Amino acid sequence: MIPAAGAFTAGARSRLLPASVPMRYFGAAIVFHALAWAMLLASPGALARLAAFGGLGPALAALHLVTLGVLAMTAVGATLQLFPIATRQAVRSVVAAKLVWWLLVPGVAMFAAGAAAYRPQLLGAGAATVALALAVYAWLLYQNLRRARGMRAVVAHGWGALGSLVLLAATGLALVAHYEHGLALDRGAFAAAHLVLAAYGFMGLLALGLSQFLLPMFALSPAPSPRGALAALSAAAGAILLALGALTVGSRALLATAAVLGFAAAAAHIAAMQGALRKRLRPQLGPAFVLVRVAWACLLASLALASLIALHWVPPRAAALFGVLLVPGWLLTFVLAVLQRIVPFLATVHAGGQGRGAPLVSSFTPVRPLAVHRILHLGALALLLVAAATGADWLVRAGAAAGLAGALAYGAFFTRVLARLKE
Amino acid sequence: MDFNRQISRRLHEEHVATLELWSRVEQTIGTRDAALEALLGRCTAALADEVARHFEFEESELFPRLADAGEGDIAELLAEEHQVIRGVAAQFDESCRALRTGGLDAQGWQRLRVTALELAERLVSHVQKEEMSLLPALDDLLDEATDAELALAYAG
Repeated sequence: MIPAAGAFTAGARSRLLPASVPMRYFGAAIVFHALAWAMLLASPGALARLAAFGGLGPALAALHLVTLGVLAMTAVGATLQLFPIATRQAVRSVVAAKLVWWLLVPGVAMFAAGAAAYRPQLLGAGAATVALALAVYAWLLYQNLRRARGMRAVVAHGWGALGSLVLLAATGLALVAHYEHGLALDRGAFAAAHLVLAAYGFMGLLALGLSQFLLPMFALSPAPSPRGALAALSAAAGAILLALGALTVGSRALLATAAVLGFAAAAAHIAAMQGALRKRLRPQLGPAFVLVRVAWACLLASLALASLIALHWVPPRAAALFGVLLVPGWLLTFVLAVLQRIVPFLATVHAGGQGRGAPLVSSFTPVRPLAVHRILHLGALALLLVAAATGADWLVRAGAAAGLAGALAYGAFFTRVLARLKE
Repeated sequence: MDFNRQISRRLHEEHVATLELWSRVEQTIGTRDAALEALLGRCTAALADEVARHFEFEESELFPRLADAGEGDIAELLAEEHQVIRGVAAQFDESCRALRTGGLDAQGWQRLRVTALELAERLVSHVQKEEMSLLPALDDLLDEATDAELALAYAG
């Protein structure tokens, strides 16, 4: 018989985490999102310095507030909930899922504070805490993937992301040891490898993998063919490995080839997704898909520019442009697009216990703050792209101000969903 | 999405038909004309026949199996949604009956539009959840013999 109401959130074998688990990750991501823009607003000149010389400073702090604080935080929260559904596996440990958050949040805060204040010891403590958090997460992901059933393409992307996570943690810790203890290494090559593994490996493969079932679900379309998805994944994994090999031997030609291969993989993925979306049953995709398409364009542009940078066919300033296309352009825009659909959906599922039935998703989607965010985020992105191309600090400041205002609007959206959930 | 079991495929086909029908309602509900009234007639017929049968079958045959397999929370959520959808469908049916008999004033028409849009959203959201959770779970839970038995029972 149908079990009594109240069992909804209780079952130990449940594939649904308590609402507080994914929501705490999303909430933290939204706070770090605003902090990242605020950090850039306070130090607009740091962006060009980071792109040109690397090293500690406010831009490195802002970058990691986005990559660890927003992207990894959201990825962990979303995959802890979505992978058990996609792979038909029970959540392994709710305690471990909460523990990752308790480690990741202070770790990101310490890391960013250490980078902004040029304090390698604080940076090192933050990095170690983040590494511990990601190690627990990696164990959870591993346990899920090794028992996974169904959705071969999503699972294969998960394995790719897990492998990248291990390597990105290793290269990241090596870089921290370089700053903190003077470990001798080729900082440029390690930083580039870390970037490839983090942005195209861990986050990129997770984004591509989860797209296989999330975007069709949002659009009510068939999923793209698993064979095509696995072919695109093979090309993407090949591109990442080739890039790592190129950085190891110091070959510009190989690095450019890796970028071209990565471009082909991304183009194949986008073409497959577009093909699936064209078969959707509802004509309206919703405004989140505007952001998804901008993100896809930035992904392709980042890879095209990467090949030119590898061959030194563009001025050195192009590195900043590449960074803007890759991080706020592709990854941040994509994550914010997906999150604005996941949060109301999950909230309605959890609001539906005690025999009340799930409320309407539209009643949990405050449209105005999302519209304000969309305009401000795209404005911020456009300003940063022009700023990176021209080297104008005042444009960086204007872009950061727009980004911060957009982040606050996004925060208003999230707060309203939480308030509605608690009603 | 590809499903391995006959019963999953059958339910999936019905989901697709439901989505197509109610997506058309969402697109055309703004303009009151003969075509829309005919479409609403098809919707009431579908709710009374296919959707009712689909829900009853899931509740009697599939949700208990899901609960026995440790997925009781999902079965409960889906069953709750059935109840809510039935309630909104009853309001929709009442309004459509008034429309057919010419007893629907401007206020009644507005109520019908709101109810139709709510029903469309609830059905779409419900289908999304079943496609994500119920149908993949059935692929795991059912053996071939049980699947054939269920498919036969559903067809009958």
